[in-house]
Amino acid sequence: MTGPGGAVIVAIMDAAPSSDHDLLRRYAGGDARSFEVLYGRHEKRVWRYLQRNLRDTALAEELMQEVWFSVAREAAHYRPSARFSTWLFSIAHNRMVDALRTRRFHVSLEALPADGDPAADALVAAPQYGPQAGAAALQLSAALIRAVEALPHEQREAFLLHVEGELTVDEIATVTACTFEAAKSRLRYARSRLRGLLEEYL
Amino acid sequence: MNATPPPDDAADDLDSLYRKGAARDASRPSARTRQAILDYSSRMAARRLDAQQADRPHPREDSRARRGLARGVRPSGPRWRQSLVVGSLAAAALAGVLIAPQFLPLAPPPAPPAPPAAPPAAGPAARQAAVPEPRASGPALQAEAPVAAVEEAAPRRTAAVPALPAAPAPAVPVPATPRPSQDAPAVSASADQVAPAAGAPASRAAAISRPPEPERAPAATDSVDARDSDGRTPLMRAVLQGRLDSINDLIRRGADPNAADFAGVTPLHAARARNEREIAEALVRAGAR
Repeated sequence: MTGPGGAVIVAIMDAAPSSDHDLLRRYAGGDARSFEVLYGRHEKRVWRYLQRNLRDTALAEELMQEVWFSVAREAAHYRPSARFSTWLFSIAHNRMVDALRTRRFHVSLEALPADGDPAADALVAAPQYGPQAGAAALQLSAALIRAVEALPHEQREAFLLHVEGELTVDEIATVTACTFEAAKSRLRYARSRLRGLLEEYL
Repeated sequence: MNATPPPDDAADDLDSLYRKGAARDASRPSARTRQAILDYSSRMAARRLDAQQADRPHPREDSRARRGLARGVRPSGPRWRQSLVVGSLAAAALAGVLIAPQFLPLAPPPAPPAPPAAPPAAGPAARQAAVPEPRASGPALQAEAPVAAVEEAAPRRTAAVPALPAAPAPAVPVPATPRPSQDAPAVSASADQVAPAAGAPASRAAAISRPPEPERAPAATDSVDARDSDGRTPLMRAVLQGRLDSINDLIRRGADPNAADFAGVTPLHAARARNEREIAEALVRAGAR
């Protein structure tokens, strides 16, 4: 029925243009397929958020499960007072904070391996984006991923919440439990630093 | 870091550049992780369906309607539940501390359901003789606890309150009720009367009316169903380890086949998720739903 990829999930996504709230409500009523659709919609974004924040695939896999287990457990108690993605990424943020706290897992620029990020390398090496697809653009994308991962943690998280979770500054402040101004500053500093890191490409 | 953030010019360029790169990024969680998530979500959905089906023909609705409590009260509303639990506990504590120890032996039985074996006018000697005969010597508050007496009392809520002082006396109203699980004190007896659905699993009414755990009489199977930090019973752990012999042994020793863990997953859910057919059949035979 399904391959290792998400072909079925993508097919379900196309067939069911319901809102996230509707899907979650239906899932809370016992419709397991609604969860699959919801998961298919947000899988990659949550994954990238976790992986690029943690830079540890095994831990990201573990937290990915915990985040979606929480969504499955709490679906019946979910009240649509905010966007689903805000709720989802707040769960992801909290899980990540807990994991960092308990494992004393510290991600810093100094800890980055010299070879860079496997996701960025995979992006450059992807055959469908070979040299004929535009080497410069690929290099830029790969460099951007590396630059994002080189940001200080708070700036990186603010930036990823914005670009992956599509959260507004206000929502970022809510999720990360900081003030609006602090969230806005983190986002600005992140962009400024990214531009600096990508100067040779831009 | 500077005090003033840098200007946010050309932010959209950077965001869209990142998003373009992310769209090309094929990285995703492993198939195993994805499958684990979807399996878990399916189990939770199945559990919710089961719960809904179990709740649908809820007999509590009838009893509530009969008692005239249906209007304006949400059956599962947290405020209603909270007020009932708090009210019951407060009444039990008040009655137990103030009334029961002092006035319980002196109160005359107004309508004893059992034939009065000991005349109330007898002195301490008669009271002594009445000790091994709890039904006959039951004072007024205890005599109201049996089902027949409580059924006829006008408001059910207030009927539960007089039954509470009987709690310290071990299982006084129990012999009058034919229910099998009447080894609990009188509080539990009145809770069962509020939700008389003997077969309804995890009935919300029972949960609402049931006293908190410390007041529950220890059941004979408690050690068999001792839970770990995840709320898993030995039976659940045996299911997760696929140990059919242990499962059969635990069932023989009276383990609850429907004891869900804190995530709400029952042993039967776990067995089905693991495609353990034999284990699932053993659980169903033991009454798992």
